[in-house]
Amino acid sequence: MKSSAAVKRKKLTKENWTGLAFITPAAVLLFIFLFIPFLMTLGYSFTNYNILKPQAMEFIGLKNFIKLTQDTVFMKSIINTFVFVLLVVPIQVGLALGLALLINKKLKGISVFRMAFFAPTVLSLVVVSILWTYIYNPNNGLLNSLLGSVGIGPFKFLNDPKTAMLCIVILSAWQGCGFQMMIFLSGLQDIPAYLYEAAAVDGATPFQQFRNITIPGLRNITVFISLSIVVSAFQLIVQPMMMTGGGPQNSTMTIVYEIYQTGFKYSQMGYASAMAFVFTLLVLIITLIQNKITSKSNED
Amino acid sequence: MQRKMTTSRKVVNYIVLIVIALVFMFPLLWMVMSSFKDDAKIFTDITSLKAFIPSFNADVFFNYKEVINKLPLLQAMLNSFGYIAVIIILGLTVNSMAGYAFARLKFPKKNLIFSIILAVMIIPAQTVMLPQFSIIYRMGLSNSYLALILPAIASPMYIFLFRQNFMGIPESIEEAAKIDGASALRTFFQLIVPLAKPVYATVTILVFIAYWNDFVWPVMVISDTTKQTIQMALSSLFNIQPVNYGNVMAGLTIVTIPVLILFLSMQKYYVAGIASTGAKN
Amino acid sequence: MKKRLLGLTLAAVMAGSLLAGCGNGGNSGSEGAKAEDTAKTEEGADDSEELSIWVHETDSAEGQLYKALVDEFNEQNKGKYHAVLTQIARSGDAGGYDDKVNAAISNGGLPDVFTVDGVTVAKYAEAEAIVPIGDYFEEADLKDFNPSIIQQGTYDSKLYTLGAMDSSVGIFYNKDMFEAAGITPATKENPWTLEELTSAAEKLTTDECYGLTMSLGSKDETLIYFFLPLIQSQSSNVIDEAGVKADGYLNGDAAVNTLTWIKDMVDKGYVSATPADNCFGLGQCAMAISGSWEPGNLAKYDINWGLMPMAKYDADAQPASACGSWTFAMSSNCAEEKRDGAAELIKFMTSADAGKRMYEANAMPPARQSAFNEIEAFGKEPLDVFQYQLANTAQSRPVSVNYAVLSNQFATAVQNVLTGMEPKEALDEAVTQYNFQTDTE
Repeated sequence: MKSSAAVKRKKLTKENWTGLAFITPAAVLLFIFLFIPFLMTLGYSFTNYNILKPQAMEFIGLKNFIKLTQDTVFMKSIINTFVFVLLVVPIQVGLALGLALLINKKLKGISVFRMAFFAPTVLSLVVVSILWTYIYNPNNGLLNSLLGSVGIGPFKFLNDPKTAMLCIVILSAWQGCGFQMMIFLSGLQDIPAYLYEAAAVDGATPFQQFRNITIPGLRNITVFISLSIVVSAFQLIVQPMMMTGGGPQNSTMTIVYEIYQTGFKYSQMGYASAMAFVFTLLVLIITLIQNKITSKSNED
Repeated sequence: MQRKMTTSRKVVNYIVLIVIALVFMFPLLWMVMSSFKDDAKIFTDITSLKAFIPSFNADVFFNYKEVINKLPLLQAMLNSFGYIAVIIILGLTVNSMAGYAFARLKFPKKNLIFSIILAVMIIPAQTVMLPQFSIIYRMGLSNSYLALILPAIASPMYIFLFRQNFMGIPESIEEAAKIDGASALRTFFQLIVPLAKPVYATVTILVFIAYWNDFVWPVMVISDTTKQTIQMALSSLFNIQPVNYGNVMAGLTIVTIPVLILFLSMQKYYVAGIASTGAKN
Repeated sequence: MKKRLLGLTLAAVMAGSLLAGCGNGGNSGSEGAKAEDTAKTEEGADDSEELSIWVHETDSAEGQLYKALVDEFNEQNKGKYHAVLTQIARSGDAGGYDDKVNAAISNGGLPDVFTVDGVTVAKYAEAEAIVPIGDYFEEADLKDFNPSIIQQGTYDSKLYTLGAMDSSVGIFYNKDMFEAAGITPATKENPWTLEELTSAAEKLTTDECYGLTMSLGSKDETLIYFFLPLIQSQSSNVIDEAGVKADGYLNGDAAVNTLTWIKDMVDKGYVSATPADNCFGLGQCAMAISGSWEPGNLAKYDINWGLMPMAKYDADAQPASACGSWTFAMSSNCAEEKRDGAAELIKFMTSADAGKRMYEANAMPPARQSAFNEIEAFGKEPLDVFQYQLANTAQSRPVSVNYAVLSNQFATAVQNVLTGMEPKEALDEAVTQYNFQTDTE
């Protein structure tokens, strides 16, 4: 076994082998449990697969994709999803970094505050969404009664097509930033302390330290965080599903929600798979562009 | 970065922290406070700040007692703990090793493989759930914890996170080990892993929460009630008509406690870096 | 020190439960095989025929009743049949349970008998995931079921499902508020018209209190479940008889009239478009359109309530009311030779006794008239309204393969009307979407 492999791949060095060995467990598992299922989904997108009638599955060529081009709700959900991503990503990254800086301190009881900031992430999104529906209730919700006491409002929040998505953006950034805060925190802690000590000796102001040490020190982590928020933002589903059902007037319908509804509620898995195909392509293109931009700015 | 803080700065710091903490804590506060109330009280209070003020019945923990009597929560929690612990241990190992390889080691087609892994990260779980089930079913893993564990171990997201993190560690640290002739495996576990404790702690927390709250997939693959996970056990609270919200809140509070304990117990890994230079210690 | 101890204990427990879990799981082939293992250990190796059954409730009182019923069935049929029950968790909208059933259909792992929600009968029947069961029941026995239960379980003139329980929707009212306003409630035989309901709501609306609440905040099945009877009351429906064509029905006059009324009630301020949960129990609404689960909920509040039948559209209209619930179906995966046994199991699960005990477990009205007669509460006010409606005015929701799309489009239309769209426009859009999603011309 070993010798025949070695003959075929003479050029592989010891380090090559180590590298391959290091990625093999992950690669095998991902291949079986994500890559193959994804290929299957791609395959379904060219069929009329109805989940209740697996035997009746037939190849129908590009029919699903042609139907997609006429699907006004799907188009709307693409726009909604992009709006959500564009709004939530900067807010969430900003919040996460701010919070991480705030709690990266040696203060008594700081771990309690860390826990407090992290609290929204501890509960499942379903529970948080139900709770915020109460808070956003235009009639007797907490938010309107709070705003009302300082003379603002009342607002219709989730019941107005113009504001519904914004409400979901706020809730999502609030709920999600705890995760990224923790990742930023672990990144902040990786920055060697001597850098700050040296800078302080040189008389650098805290802002200069932030700009010249913290920001570059967080570069790798920031690339990860912005990409991971983009990816998870594109997958928005639980909040609209629990809070608005995609309404009012489809203003909070998102791509993944549409995929879920079509595939599982309407049983049209073939058509839903075509949506998933288009979705993946879209996100792939965007992340590639984003990656290009961030890696370029890293080189500068 | 900071000298010793003056008292007034400390006070300002604490005020800012407390205000922000309240903004982030309120659902948890509401949940805990509501768990001591009956339904009529919960819904009378919901429109005002009274929602966050406790009001105790004669029997303070009545909701908790009811929930514990109704549901096999303890068994379900142990089930969840068990399988999630395996996911965490195997997942940390597998993903961090892969992340390290992508960050540091040279091997053929590295960039291509990494791009594919990034692309896989984009796939929404909903779209692959059914094919995943078919694979688990054909492997004969239905109704076993392996059906919960195997698909959860490798994660493109965390491979990526580990890679980014390891890239930030100065290469000079490994150079010395290389000269000493240490194997990559030894270098990784003895030098790199200890340096990256915070990221391991972070991933532990994130993975734990993700699977602690997972519902649909466990329902699909687990049939045996004795094997049910915590969210499966909890779900009937929402289905028992009419829904008893006091009970729901008590149930949610009970399942939140382990997460908070885990979070606090991981805090000791976040004291490296800056903190050590600031105040004494 | 303490911390370490806790950690160690936890680790030990985890390791223990894992060893147990994995060992077990590793060997078990399919779920069926696993079920067999359990059965054999329980019963020993006898010749009884193995029947598998899935239900959608776990630890609730209803879930425990299923368990008790299956145990009794096994006791009664010792040596003949042995049913193995699997209880499956679900979230509020049946996510979880439905996903598992769907996955079993794609992979061929359906049990012999499983529960299906009444409105999903058509899609499972059309996909041939379930088989007709009418032939296993005697004519006289079927007559005992509420007519709407038979209607809900019948697809393509064949009976596919039967249940132990049903449901009904009426108008709950606050007796004290009615008295203060001098309003006489409707009797079960003579429901109010919408006009009467509107004028009562007008009288009862104050600054602190809405005249009526009707779950307008929901985005799901609730809306069609509550309001379809108003359309049926005008001798119409949201889809044609065959359950295919929505154009002319979903956007027909009856539906437009109904949505116009809803919009009107909200615009006039008698009904909240975003009602608070339990506002009726809290005395913030004088009347509530709600279902058979409501009395159990109201018991938690200090309120003196009564029940009226669902309103009819106008004086010329026929009364109509909502119904439907979870039922038992025989899967096409059930082997020919097992079908008699499976039918016996369904009979047992839907007996009058089961219906009566179901009421005790979850307060749902029974699916059989004979069960009604055994439950005292339905013989008198206020619950007699539900019995009367289920025997006389209940009409099932459309038995259509496309029901999920239909229901969702109806809910979307109601929500769109509540956020500013005109009823006709919203319903036309619903029809367009329905046609597009279902490839109907």
